[in-house]
Amino acid sequence: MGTVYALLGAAVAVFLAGAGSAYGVGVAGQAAAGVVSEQPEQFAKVLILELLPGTQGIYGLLVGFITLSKVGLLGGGTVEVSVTTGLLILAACLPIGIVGLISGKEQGKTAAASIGIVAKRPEQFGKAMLFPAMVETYAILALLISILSVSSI
Amino acid sequence: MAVCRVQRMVLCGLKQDRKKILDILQQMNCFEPAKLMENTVFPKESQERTLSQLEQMKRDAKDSLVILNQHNQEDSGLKAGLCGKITFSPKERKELQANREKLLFVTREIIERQREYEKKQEQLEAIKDKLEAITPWLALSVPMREAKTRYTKVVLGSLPEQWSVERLYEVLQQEDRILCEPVIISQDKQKTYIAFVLFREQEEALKKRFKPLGMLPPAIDCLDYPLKAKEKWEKEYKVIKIRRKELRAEFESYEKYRKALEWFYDDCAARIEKYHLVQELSQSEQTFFLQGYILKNQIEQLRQQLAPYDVVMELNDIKPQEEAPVVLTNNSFSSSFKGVVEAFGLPGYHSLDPTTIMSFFYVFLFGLMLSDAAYGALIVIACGWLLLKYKKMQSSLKQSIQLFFWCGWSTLIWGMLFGGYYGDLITVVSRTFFGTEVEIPALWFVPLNNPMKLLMYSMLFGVIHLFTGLFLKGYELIRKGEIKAAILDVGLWFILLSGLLVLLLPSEIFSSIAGTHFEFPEWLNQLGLYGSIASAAGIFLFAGRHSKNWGVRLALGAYDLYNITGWLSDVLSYSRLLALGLATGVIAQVVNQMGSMLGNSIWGVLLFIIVFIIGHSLNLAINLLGAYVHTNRLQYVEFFGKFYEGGGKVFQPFGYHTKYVHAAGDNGE
Repeated sequence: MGTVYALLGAAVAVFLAGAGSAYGVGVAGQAAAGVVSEQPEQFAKVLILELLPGTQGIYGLLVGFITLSKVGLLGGGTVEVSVTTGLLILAACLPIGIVGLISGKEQGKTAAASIGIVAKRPEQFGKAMLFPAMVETYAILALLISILSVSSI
Repeated sequence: MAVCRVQRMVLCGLKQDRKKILDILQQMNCFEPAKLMENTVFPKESQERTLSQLEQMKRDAKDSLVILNQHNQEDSGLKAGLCGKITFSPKERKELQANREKLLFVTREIIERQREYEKKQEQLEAIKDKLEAITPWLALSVPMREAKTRYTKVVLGSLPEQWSVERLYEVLQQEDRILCEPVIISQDKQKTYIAFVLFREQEEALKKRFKPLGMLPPAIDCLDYPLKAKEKWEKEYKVIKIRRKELRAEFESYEKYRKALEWFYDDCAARIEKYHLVQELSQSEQTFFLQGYILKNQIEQLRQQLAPYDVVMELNDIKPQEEAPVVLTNNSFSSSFKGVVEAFGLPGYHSLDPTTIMSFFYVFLFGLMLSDAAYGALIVIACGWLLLKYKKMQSSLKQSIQLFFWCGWSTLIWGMLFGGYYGDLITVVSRTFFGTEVEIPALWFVPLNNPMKLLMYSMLFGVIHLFTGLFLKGYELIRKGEIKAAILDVGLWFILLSGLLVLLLPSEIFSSIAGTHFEFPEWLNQLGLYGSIASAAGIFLFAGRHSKNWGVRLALGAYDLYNITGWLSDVLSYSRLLALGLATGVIAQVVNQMGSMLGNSIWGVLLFIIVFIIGHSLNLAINLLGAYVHTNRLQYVEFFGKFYEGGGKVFQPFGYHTKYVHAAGDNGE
């Protein structure tokens, strides 16, 4: 039973954060496609901006992976996990899952707006890149707590 | 390392030397014209006509180059960027200058050809449409229009769906019978094409009856028999196609003018720049005045060049409050990072150039975030190869490749410190395929086994980075002579923060997080405590000192103290060093694990190779992007936020701003 909870935790981390990223990259991608149709030479810049909200999914994967190796599902021999430990792991996975979902989504919107900057003033790319990166800070903080909790359980 | 010194220059020369003097200035690329003082005495000379002619020529050159690209599929932008600009020898240049007329003629010709080509293209489309429309009627054995006798007539029309002759008769023989013979010419899935032979006076009745059923007249109209019309159009089609082919060949033959046209474009741009300047000059009957900023280190050379002419030069230093255009000089390592500073905004003329200090932190932090020796080596090799192979590439592209080259080295070193070589590739490969487990030990420690340790170090690096920023602010204030501000705004904060650090390190909370315990001597603890209390009081009292009202002043002071939370979040922000560093390693491990799933067999090796290539390229790409973005962020928000304001005006010298061709005497830098 403990293993089930732990696995549920890994799943929550991966799928919530992944869903957030998918949504964010999607929104930004629509904006990027619009810009490229008019200004194909901005492709590289808008691609970078589009990919920015993609990191939440990676953070989710990261926590999911650490969780899996923690309960021994990857190395072969499964470790016996008590219900308490399992629930602890589940709780530890929640920050990156939930914050990943929301920040991924919001970062996508910000990235779309930044793509708008690049469309009008390509030389301001450096500044445009900053706005989505601000949103990501909170995903990183959540990731930090998730990693620290999982690895110290 | 620094902002280049510039001086204000006013130059007065004889009008007869104007062209030569301007040519020298344009060649030297060291002078930015600016309006330094108002002048109402001397009139300006309008150059509108010359300028509009030149603009037109430039447009034509550009258009003809675009046309050539379109027809001859010339190299893409990236390749052009790598190969850099073309160089002409002085002799070739002279020849080109003598041939301006001819080149202008060539551009006109190309544009004309293109117009004809587009027209032919349209005609071909039109004929194609006509041929398509006539296909269903080919079996019609009368001319399409005007097929009639004295009493009878042929009416053509198409009906939706498939109709049989019987069904047509049914409709015709409803009440008010129409005497008519329908002939089905052809049929496809959606439509039936019919010719009705009937008395002239019943034409209206027929149309009325079939209209509700969806009858439409033919999409095409011609006087002739359909077959004959088709033959005629096909012949036209062939003729036009041949002409189109000839045109294409002509475009290909124009290809030999490409370089000359590129030169022509740049030449027009340079002349436009010159005439814009001429238009701004104040001129009397015999003389002209030129005013603007000049790079200080070029003044001597300019004097020498101008020695043969009668000119008067007046030079002035920039005053302390005056803003002037900014250009940065740096050593070859740091200048690769100029783009990063420029993207944020140049420093003001009197401020510090942060490029050098930032460049070291940049490389350090970037490597820490990517931290995989193999990835680092890949980046170094790829960038190094590009730099060697394409020596003449565009300078902005060269800058960013150099930036990644240096960051690659740092990544390599950090990767060795943390023991990451494609994640844990060597361990996995040796275990899966060779049965023994080989491990390359980390030179320092493995972050995944001890994330807390790396977190602590990340924050330590953060504190160092931020304190450097604070110091720079203090340095700049002292340099400007504002000692009081330096002590009150920077010194107090430094004491406060160091004091708080001293208090925090031995505390229970910290030792439980970090797992190590700090023990400071009692006097240091006391010093930390009283130091931070005193400096906090100082900030409370003095941060709002510009306000006369004591209530407002204290409120501002309290607000400034609240910045402690800002510092806390700034330091926490460096935890991204850990997060991104771990991300690279963990994803690389996932990739390796996935690759080794099939175990030790031929299929296993194959799968491993495929997964290895795809997985690691993706991982590298994503984390490279992440490291780039977040290093920039740490520089812009956390580091620059402490001291840097930007807002400088870019030095835009009067010179040859070419797109394709190296200006004379320009060696590519």
